[in-house]
Amino acid sequence: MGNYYFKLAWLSFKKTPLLSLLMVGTISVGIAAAMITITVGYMMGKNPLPDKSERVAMVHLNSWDPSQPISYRKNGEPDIPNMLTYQDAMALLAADKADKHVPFVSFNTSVRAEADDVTSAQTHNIRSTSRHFFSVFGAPFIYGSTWSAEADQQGQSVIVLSKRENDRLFDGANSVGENIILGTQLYRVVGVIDDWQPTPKFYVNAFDMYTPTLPYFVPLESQIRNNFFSPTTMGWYCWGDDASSTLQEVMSSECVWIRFWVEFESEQSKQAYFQFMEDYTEEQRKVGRFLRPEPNRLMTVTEFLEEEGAVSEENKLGIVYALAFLFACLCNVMSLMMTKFHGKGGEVGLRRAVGATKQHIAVQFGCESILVGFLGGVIGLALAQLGLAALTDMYPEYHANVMTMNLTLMVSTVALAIGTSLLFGLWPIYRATRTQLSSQLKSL
Amino acid sequence: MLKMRGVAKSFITDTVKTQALHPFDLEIQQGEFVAVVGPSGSGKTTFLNIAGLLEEHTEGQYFLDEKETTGLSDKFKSSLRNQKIGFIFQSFNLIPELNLFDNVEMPLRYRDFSAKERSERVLNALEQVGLAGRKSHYPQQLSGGQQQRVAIARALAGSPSFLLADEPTGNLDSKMAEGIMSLLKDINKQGTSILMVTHDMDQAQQASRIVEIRDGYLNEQKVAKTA
Ligand SMILES: Nc1ncnc2c1ncn2[C@@H]1O[C@H](COP(=O)(O)OP(=O)(O)O)[C@@H](O)[C@H]1O
Ligand SMILES: [Mg+2]
Repeated sequence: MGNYYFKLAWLSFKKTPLLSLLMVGTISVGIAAAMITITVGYMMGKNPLPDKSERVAMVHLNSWDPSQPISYRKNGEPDIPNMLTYQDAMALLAADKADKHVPFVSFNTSVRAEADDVTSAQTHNIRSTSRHFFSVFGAPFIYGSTWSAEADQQGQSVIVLSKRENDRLFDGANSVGENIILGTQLYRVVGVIDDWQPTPKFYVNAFDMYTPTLPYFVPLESQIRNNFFSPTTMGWYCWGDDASSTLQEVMSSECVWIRFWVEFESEQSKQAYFQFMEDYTEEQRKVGRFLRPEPNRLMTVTEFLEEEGAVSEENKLGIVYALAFLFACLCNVMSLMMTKFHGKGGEVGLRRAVGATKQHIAVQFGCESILVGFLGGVIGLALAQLGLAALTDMYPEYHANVMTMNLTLMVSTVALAIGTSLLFGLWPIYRATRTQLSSQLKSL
Repeated sequence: MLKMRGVAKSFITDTVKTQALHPFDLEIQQGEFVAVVGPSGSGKTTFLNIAGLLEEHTEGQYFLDEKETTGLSDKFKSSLRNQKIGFIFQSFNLIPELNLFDNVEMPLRYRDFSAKERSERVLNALEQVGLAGRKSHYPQQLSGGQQQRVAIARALAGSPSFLLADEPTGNLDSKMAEGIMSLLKDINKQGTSILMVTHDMDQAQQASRIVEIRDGYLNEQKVAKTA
């Protein structure tokens, strides 16, 4: 019977092509607008580590100038740094109280394969971190693996690179064991990670969350041994009058420049870790550090995203506007359906006379609404893809992931179109079932 | 088969009450061919609507095959219409985007028939009206008379107890009208009762009974000559 009704719906659709296309067009434009904003909002607000977002947390220690806070939050309260000093980061690493530790910074230097000519060197941003970076943040390897614990401790010159860089430097071959020259230092490749873009890129600040992941990774200790220091790209904050013009000076200063994440095997350990942070802070107060009153923070991925405002207010407002536009489109579709179904009064009268119940009529027109919604949804999906592609071009600073629909969103697009078209069809359908019956029908 | 006791119908619109049909009794037996005549606006269509369960009478009782129909649910009345009544309209009312087969099959879709049984019934009905060879044609490819034949096939396909026809030849020229009349008489001879509104006294005379409606009053009339 379903087949029968969809056949009728299709015939009816073809019978008034202009009206039908107008309905489909109106729905598809509304759906496209809604889904473009929803996609951006949804992808920005997605949980990037769904299976362990509550077990991975960022350490914020309130080591800052007692005379004034580092900044103020939106609500006017004083904020605390979300990066650590070198000495605190090293102290936390040495205490080893979490299951995995990921301190990280970045530096700029020239990069080339050992075999390549010096003139082929390109300047890149290098992520300087611990061996756990990949497993904690979920970066998958295609060749090799992360470096060893010894490499972290001894600062061995080993490197992990992205698939894209591996394609560029080594034509996509398994490059484990090959050498890369960073600045003037020889680094040995230990692993290559696949294309990887957590969306949002939760482990950095909000303004960086939708930018591409960095292409090279080395042990933090190796940066220090090899003295890579690029003050302009480091993103650091200092106070007081400590000298900070060399890496060594920065390391012994009160400047904050190291982000620090930890992973726990169970959520319960989080509480204990926070207590450890408090104890550490208390200890440091004895030597005159940590004199500000605001509490430390141990923020899970979701808490950090929330605090950073990963989804901006403008985004949320955009979704509201787009939904309002969709609503207006649907109201138009409703009136078009009214016209359409009214024009079929003769057929309704006939079908009712020969035995169709009101439910039969409702199902028939319901299928017509579904068909219109489905076509509107499919075309709307195509329009939304075009719109997202245009946005990707317009905002190159956002990674394309943010402007890309996943399967869930695609299915939702069509489902939303069908659902709303059925919903806004209810009134026209109800009216159609109320057609006055008579043996003297107007012509079909 | 069809029994009406004190049935009447009034319309109330904007505080104006129109007595479309005054109370009347009427009984129609299986196999009768009843012509309903009367001037325009006298209540013929209203009477047919009540007989066809398309409208509710406002007074009296109406029994269809011994069953009281007053106050039945829409669902129940729909199924009675579907199984017991075949409708034939003045303007044929075939669905233009469906071919003849699908048009005739349409009422059967609202009943629990298998696809095979539906198909058999449709082909039989088209056979009966002499259009079996054109089942894949579309209504607009046929003449008015042929279209009305298809409509009759549609009414017959569900094997109803009776046919209701509201001026079935009103849109046809006299030659086509004659064809339709003789088809209806054939169908009647095979046992299906017919209740037909007509303006044409010649046609009425071919019925087995004539009911006249005048200003909402229903009266039996003598048939001048038996057909
Ligand atoms: N739905 C209705 N509402 C109000 N009055 C109606 C309605 N249907 C019919 N009537 C009135 O009932 C009377 C009989 O109409 P009808 O049965 O159509 O006559 P006929 O078919 O004999 O021409 C007319 O006066 C008509 O105006
Ligand atoms: Mg009439």
